[in-house]
Amino acid sequence: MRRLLNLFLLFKEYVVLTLLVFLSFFFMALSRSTEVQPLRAVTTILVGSLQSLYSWIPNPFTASSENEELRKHNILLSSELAQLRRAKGENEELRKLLGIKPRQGWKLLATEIVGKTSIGDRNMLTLSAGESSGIKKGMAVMTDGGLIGRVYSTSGGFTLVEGLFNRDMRVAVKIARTRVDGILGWEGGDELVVRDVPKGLDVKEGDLVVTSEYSTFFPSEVPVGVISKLEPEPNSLFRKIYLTPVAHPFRVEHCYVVLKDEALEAEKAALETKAAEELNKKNTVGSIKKKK
Amino acid sequence: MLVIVQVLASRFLSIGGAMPDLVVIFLAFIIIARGQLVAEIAGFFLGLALDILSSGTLGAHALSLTLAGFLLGYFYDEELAKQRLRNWPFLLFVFAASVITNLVYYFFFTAGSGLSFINYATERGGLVTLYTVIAAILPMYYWSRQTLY
Repeated sequence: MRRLLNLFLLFKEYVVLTLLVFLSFFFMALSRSTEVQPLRAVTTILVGSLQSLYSWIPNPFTASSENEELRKHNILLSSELAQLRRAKGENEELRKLLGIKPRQGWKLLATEIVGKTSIGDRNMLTLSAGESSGIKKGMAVMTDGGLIGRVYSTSGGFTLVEGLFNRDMRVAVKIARTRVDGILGWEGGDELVVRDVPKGLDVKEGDLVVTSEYSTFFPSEVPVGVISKLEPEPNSLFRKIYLTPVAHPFRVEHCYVVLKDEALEAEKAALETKAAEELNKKNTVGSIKKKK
Repeated sequence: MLVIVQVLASRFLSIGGAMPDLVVIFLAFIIIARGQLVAEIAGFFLGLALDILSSGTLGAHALSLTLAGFLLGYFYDEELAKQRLRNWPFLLFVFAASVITNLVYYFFFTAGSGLSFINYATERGGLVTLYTVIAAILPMYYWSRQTLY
């Protein structure tokens, strides 16, 4: 026993290191499990409460850049508004003629960003509204410009948002002009990247990229960014598309959470489940027939 | 307390999305002043607190800071501790700790996400390391004018 103790003392740094590394991996394995969610909720409340204490202190750097962006945006919007009003009239008339149901508008909840955290390659925002205002995990968060992130966790009065500039973020997007689909991610820096878009498809610099109908979290047609650069991927048929985001999460102080219509979501989910079940059934019957 | 400051001060201290790693500065202090064993244990708990408060992957910072504490702990020298804290070697320890932390973090948690090493090194890790080393000048200057423990 004494010898064992001596051996431990001799190699204590290594023994402790092994133990700590093992514990780190154990925590990593636990990280996404549901058991950790209450802990996430508690930290959201703690961080949110602390951040809201000093959120009244203005940040001059953010305020000036936000003002500048808003001014630019205002000019663009006023010119687009006139065109859109005319297009909306035409669209409604055509929908009526074709008998298509009118599109549902987004239900938005305006809220204030009380905290911004940037640790490693994860950028998070803390909002001053939470579950009590109807916010739930996975909801989209946007500004008047476009998408900035997704709700990561909520507590009663606060919400933690995973920004677009985050290594884990993936968003199904499409080019607004040509409807070419892609998956958006972030690879560092101030730009977003859409990968694996075939070289032959019609994509140009300056095209607007919006969220796609394939996305389970985000409503479709929310602007995400404007294409700034196209880069062919070496030895492949694809190319990388770089986007300048239309709204930067670190340059805004207020945002909107897109609240989901629960009844509509449930109806959609039920329909999708039914369709999937029917398809499975057909496939099973087909494979049995083939075997016979 | 330091970890809370690290999480909360982002809004005011971040430049280009990067902010000085106060935890790494503190870890460098522990490595120089207390040695390998204390540094690896402190690194683990500081990292875990950071993971919990920043809503990151649990254990990610814990692992990277533990390894930084262990590796740099080899250079611990009790007799030179005070001298090191008051002079440029402190900045060297901060730099090395930041580089190791960022490297471990990249290879374990970021490498598979499409973020290339060069992008990470120039736009995230490099920026954070530079910013952290600059921020570490303040405590070094303070200690150079104080009687340490």
